Amino acid sequence: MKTKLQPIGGIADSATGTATGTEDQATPILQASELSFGWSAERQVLDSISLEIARGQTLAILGPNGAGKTTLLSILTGKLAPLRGQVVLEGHPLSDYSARERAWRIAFLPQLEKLPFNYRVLDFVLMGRTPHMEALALPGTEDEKAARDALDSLGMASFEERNIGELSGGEFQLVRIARCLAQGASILVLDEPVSMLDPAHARQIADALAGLATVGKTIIYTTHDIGLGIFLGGRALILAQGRVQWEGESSGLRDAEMLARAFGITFSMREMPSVF
Amino acid sequence: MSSSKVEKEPKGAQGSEGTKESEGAQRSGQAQLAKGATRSDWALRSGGTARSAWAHRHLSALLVGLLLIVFALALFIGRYPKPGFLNPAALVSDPLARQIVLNSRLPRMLGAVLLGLVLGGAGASLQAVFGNPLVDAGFLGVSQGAAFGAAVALVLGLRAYSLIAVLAFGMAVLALALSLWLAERFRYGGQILRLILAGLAVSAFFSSLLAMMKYVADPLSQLPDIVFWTMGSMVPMGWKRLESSAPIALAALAVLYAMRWRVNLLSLDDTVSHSLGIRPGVERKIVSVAAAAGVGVMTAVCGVVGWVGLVVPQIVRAIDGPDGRSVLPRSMLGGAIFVLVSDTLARSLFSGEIPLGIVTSLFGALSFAILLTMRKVELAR
Repeated sequence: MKTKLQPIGGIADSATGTATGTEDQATPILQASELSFGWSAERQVLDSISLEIARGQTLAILGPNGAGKTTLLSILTGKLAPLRGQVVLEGHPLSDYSARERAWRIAFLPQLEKLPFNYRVLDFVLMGRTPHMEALALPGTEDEKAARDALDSLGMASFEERNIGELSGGEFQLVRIARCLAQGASILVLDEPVSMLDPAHARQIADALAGLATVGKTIIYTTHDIGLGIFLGGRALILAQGRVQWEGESSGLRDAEMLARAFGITFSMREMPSVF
Repeated sequence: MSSSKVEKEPKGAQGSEGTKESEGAQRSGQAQLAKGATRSDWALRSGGTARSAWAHRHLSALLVGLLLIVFALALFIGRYPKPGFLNPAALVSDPLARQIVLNSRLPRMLGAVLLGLVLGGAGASLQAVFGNPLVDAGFLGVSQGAAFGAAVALVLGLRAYSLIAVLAFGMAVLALALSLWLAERFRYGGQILRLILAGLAVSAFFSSLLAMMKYVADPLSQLPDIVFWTMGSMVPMGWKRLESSAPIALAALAVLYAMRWRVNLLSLDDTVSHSLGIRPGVERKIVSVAAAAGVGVMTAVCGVVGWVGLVVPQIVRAIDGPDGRSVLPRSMLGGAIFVLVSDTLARSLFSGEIPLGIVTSLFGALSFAILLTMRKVELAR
């Protein structure tokens, strides 16, 4: 059964997943058209959002609290269905993919996650192998190798025997990213990956994401840190009141007047200490 | 996209940024060591000491061995011909001893083992999939539903034990269905919170109905039976009842055991498990129904035996971590030992039979209290 799976990209499955040829290079890997979403008729969260992400591109999504960033990520990852509009993954509607087929391609890291139990780091990362395992199978040596490779690629190899409850916030965030890597998806979607981290760990996560971008991962993330958006490069998008207020190269985030219009507050361009 | 590339890039990026991060990493590494040392008491596995690694690898074998020893001993402990140990030679020489051991003690003890396997396994898997270490095997209304069903049978004067068991199991299933139905309709919280709240409400509902049954029961003939039943006992377990309850209980055990890795995924946040390509809502229900069916069918015969499903998985997790691959089988075995020892004490400690639920609750509550004072109940983060 395992040989039938054709996951795309990813650490462990790079050998089998190279089938997606160069002709796909031109078409966006992920595309959203006219997405609208609202919990009720009065409160529209997203209003006609359209975006395109090319294979290997990095996209920063910025915007004030309540702008709909997390909702947009939920729709892009198939957790929520949009009221109107469509998400297209590699040329096919996202809703046509089975949960497992989707999981081969998209890994999502929520901002927070509840952790009732103090799992060993390696077991925690092994859970990322789920889409590559049969429903009732136990992880095998191949899966363990993929999990170890994922930890190693983030410089966390020495942590595999630790327990997640003993990790600092930054170390835990790296372990969670390792779980996404073990999943082997080519698209990583991260909700606020550096919020609530100290500067050193924020920088460490940013470096890890930059490294993943250079090996061809498509990275979509939300952030409140404009400096992070500029640091990671790629494209950026500012969402406010459920609409795309601005979209462009992330270097465009240096435009204080544009930021002032999008966020509704004055930005100054003073030199400030920053890790980015 | 090869793995070696992924390995190199982030490190290279870090290295080029000077010494600031490496210092930070060192500092956090030292802080980590210090933290690890002070917390080693509640995270036995983190230390990787020889003792805990050895225990981790061989715990299942140890538990199986312990269960067999306890079983062999308990077979000859009892009140015939006098309280204490029965000489195994009597099995050959004394037909009545043979009769008692083979037709009374053996099925009863097998029943106790089955009950323990089910309670331990159900408790461990429910605690995992509800991400809540304080969930008991009989929550979702199963225990109270079964108790109410038995009380109805007793008040109606249905003395045949099979009728009591059928009514108890029927009510347990009804309570479970009610909990699941109610949880779907709650307009509050996520699935886990809704199911826990629904289980709470349904349990309370059936325990009030049970109280009503106690109130209308004849205080001289019926009430003692109801009270005794709700305190749990292995007395009614014989070959026939074991044969009728074992298929459902074993099927439930098989489902739970098969999902021993899967329950880890269900303990994660639903957003994460969804991203991993599973449907947490559906799979959580499969585990709940399997656990409730097993607990329901055993409770229907043995009455309400509390605390086993809550405490045994806690002890197992404290010893060798929360991974379902080890917690599930070991909680089953631990539950079996716990119930077998409790039942052996219940039937041989005094001249009269002590209800099993009293013994398990006593030991369960005591070990729970000790566990908590030793900080071994892990509520990480």
